[in-house]
Amino acid sequence: MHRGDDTAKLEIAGISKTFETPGKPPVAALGAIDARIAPGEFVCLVGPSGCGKSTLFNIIAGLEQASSGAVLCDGSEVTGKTGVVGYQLQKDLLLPWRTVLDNIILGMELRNVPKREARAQVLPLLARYGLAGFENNYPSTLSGGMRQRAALMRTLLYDKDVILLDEPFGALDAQTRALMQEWLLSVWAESGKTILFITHDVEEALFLADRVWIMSARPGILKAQLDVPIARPRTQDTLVDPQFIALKRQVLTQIREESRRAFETR
Amino acid sequence: MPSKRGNADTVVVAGRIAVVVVVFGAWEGLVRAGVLPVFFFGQPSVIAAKAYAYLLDGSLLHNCWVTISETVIGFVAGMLLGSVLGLSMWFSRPAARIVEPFLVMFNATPKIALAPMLVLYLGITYWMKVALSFSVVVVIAWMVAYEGSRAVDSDLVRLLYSLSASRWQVFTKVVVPSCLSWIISSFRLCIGFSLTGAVVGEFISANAGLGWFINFSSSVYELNDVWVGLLSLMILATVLNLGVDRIERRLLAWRGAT
Repeated sequence: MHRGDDTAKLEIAGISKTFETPGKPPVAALGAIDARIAPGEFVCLVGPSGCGKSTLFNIIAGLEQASSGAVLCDGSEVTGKTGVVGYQLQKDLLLPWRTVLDNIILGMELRNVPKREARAQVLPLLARYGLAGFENNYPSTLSGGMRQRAALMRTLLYDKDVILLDEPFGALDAQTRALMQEWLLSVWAESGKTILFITHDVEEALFLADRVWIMSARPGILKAQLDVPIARPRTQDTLVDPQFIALKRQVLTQIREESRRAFETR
Repeated sequence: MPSKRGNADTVVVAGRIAVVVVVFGAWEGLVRAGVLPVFFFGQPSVIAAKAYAYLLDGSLLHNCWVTISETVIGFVAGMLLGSVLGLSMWFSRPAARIVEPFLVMFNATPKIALAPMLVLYLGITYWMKVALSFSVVVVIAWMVAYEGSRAVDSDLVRLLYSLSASRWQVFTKVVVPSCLSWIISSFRLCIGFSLTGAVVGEFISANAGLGWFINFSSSVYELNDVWVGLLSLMILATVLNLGVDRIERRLLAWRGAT
């Protein structure tokens, strides 16, 4: 969990993105972004809306092409490759016609693991995700928190070392959200995964992360990186820790500046 | 359990029975009093007696069976082929755009207009009616499956690609199931059209089926027989609808009870 060593799990090397539409001036969405994430690290990405956070995720996940630059995982280039990282969006994107269990095994199914085997493997794990007894329910019958846990379980069971989470708790109410954050931290601690997490919520970012990346207004670049040297495990008490509050003030100041710039150039 | 709700249901059922009794009673009474000429309107008691007689001699069931089987074969075949054609358009946007205007034109055309040509090709046969019923359904199913394939949630597709799915996997795991809910939802509409196709086909030329029976009875001014055919058709249509409804509810159970 330290920066500066040469064993970056994920490296973003000079990634930029310009959207070209014929007949219109090109839109620069991402400036050149250089960043590294250590194995097992939890990094939160915050920034004003429209700064290209999701574009960056799409590029890392291989769903969108970068205009320049490269993505490296464990030192080898994976630019434009899908299936290298686990990726989850704000919407839980459970397939409504599949039961919870069959949604969770989707990733395994796509890797041609026989359905029966995948189900047997997943079933004992449901309790850890608070989904025991709901395996045969359809997503439409679950609460928002449960749906997110099912989606997260699908992402984690896809079993990639790096997980990208794009505002996964954005649509949840404050209570559920706080519980989900603590739960995510405990799952992460057990799994040893490397997580890159987008959020609008500075408090959420500081609560979860080892490190917070602050992005600028469009074209997005990494404006600042901030270590969060707060001891783990973190609890609700962490939120009123003076050190936490000082960090929060620092981040908020930077974000506000960028949000104003984004607002004024719109 | 006796409750307010239960009582309300009883009232509704009683009301429905009352509607039937009043309508048929008034009809019978007015005919007997000589207000309505029986020649033009028929008479419920005679209609019932005739229906009973046709049930006993087997002709009514035979006619029902002919119409039902034409309808169901046309429906199933049309649904299958139409769905396959519509879904396959997902694979190639350019191909879909080439086909689209022709599909729209064909969809806008009353398929009944094909009947004379079908008679020419297939003769006055059973399969002519099946073909007519099929031609109505296939275009609707094609259209619905195509529109469904265009309405697939692009985020779900993106999710599958992020999980490194192949194009074929995206098709089978997301496009087909998500279109199926559209296709299944069109069942009720299509079974109605399919029945219309079969009955109109029988009107044109046939020697069996409810459409033929109604048309024939009407041409010989047997209004009581026309009513037997018409009421049988109503019952038949309702049964088909209920059947389709049940299939739809079972297949779309994932949508939840609400």
